[in-house]
Amino acid sequence: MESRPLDNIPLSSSTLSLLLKNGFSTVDDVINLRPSELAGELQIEPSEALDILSIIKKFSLGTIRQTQTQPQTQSFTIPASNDRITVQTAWEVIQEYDSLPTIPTLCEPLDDLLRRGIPVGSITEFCGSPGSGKTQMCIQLCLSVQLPASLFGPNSEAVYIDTEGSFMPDRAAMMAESLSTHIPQAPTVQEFLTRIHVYRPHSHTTLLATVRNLPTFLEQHPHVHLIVIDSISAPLRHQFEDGISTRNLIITEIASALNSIAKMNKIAVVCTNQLTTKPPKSQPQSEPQQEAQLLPALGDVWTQHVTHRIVLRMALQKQTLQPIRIATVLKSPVALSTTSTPFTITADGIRSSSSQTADPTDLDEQNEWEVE
Amino acid sequence: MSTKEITAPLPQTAFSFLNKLPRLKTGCPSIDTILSGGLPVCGINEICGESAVGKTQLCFQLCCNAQLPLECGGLNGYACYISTEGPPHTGRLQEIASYVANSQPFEVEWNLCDNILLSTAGTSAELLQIIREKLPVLLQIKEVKLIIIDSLTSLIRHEFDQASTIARTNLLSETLSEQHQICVVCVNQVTSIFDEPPDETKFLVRSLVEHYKDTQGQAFGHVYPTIEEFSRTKPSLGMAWAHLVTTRLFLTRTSHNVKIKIRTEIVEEEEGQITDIKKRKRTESTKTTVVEANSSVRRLSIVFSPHLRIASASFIVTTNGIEDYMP
Repeated sequence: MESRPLDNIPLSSSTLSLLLKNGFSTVDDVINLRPSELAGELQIEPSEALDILSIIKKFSLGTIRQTQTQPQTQSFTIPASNDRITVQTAWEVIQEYDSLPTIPTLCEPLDDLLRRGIPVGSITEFCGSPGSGKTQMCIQLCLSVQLPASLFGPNSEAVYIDTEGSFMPDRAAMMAESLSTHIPQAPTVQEFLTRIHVYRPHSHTTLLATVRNLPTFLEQHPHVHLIVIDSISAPLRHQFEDGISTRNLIITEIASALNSIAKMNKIAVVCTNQLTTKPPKSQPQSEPQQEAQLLPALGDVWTQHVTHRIVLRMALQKQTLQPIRIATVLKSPVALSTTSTPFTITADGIRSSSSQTADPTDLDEQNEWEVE
Repeated sequence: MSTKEITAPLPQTAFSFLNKLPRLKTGCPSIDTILSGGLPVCGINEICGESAVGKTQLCFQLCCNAQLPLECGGLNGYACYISTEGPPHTGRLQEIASYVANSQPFEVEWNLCDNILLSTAGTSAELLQIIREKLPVLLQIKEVKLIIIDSLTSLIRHEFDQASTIARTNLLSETLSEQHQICVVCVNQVTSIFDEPPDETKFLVRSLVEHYKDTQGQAFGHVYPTIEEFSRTKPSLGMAWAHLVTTRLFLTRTSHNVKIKIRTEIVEEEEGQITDIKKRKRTESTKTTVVEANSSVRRLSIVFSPHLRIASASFIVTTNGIEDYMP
């Protein structure tokens, strides 16, 4: 492996420039020196040299992120198959993908669009305006992961990270009651709700701490197959006084932690995201002005980590003027060409739309979403 | 701040707090029915509507109800009312308080107005200061169970840096709500719609019509929802704020009118003398007269909420506060 350049190490800029000036450019140049030798080279106090060396040693072991998360990941039990990098053929990947369990949304057309439901091992995002059904979808998934038909076996559990204070156990109980009365062998309402673990972080720092603690929690609760974050954007959108770069760092940190949790433990991660208004590009007066666009929040930094993105919105059916809710799969490696489907939210939870398949023209209005 | 030093919150199971969240009733039976008991003590509740539709009246009534014991639909605590549009109309508050006190099945031994803490904020900085510094101190000495901000909009509507004020207010009040189990209510104003009403509005109206049909319009003395009612205005502050609201209640005027009796106390004053409301006593010089007046029937609609369906109930504003509309 190539030696790491020193400017990758979080040293103060004065220290770094002192090192570079004296000809030290990579970790290997410094790491084997004694503190006194380094002090002599740089003409500084041995204690300062010791500090520099300890920082370099600490961070030279890998990337910064790995070292920081080490306290948690040490207790990780990595499956034997993951011990070394294995090469799979595409066929094997498909076979594995098909054999993985999925979580049904209980809206069949939507499950079909995603090939059988919300997949494990990746991040799925639901976004939409307030009232579009994001929280309802999350609660529904927490319940349907526990269904006997969802192939996860008995005693499946879910983690619900509620950053907006919008998780209402009463609503979950209402949905659970419908499932336990209609589905044979389904758990009781109490069992359903006892297996949903709710976290309530309110700031980006507590959210990050929660995500970092998840591996430890998952070790104690091996039956967790779903992690919901409702919503990922609430704590990350507005609270940053020290600028956008800190925010992006934290987003990346959370996203990669979630991704690795999802992959390692074969867990489905579901996040909700808010929408943000993108002002139109200013046009010369003579030309028609563009309308403001609605886009999922958090920008490209987050989008890159999301494997499946589904937009929920409200609309009216063109002819009957019935209110319908529409789920549009915006981004998914498995989605087919038809990417929208109507769904409804009843007292029982998320269901497929009872009205006959909506007029296709209703669903075509997704152009606004395709420009990203 | 290093994230390592922050301890992650501990999880609890959903079952452990099922039915543990108290509800604050509004005191208007039809509204309480669609709210399934009242405003939830979770997240941020928003009441929005055009001026003179009854937002402040509803807030006053909530302030009074919050002091009632839990089994009567109250929160058994003090109410804190932060007004940003000048000092609140305390005379009106007294009227509503005395009605609420008299309509309880038990004797209310204290003056409901005594437990309503009023504060005014003139700028958003003052508001943030109240929430960040004064309220935590207040919470240590008094059992405050309801915080009303009437209205956030008037302070920040004209500010450039709306988003950060919104976010900070939200964060602070949400933390308070969570830590102390406080019901937080924010009042919002409306913005005119000049064009065709947006899809959300149409969706809302159609869903309200469905709710009307499902309940056959009878359960709540319901007035049929029409698009005209909703096509004039929409809630202010845009999407950034809307995402932070947990339950949004929208008040509108319907086209129905109703005759209500207004009880007024006419004080015979000496000419040129202004009587102070506090010094005024019920002496022989005070006469109660009843005047009939036209008032429009209003509607409270649930626009979105994590635990409630889109629904609406009609009500009227009388001397006693917010009451059911009985056609």
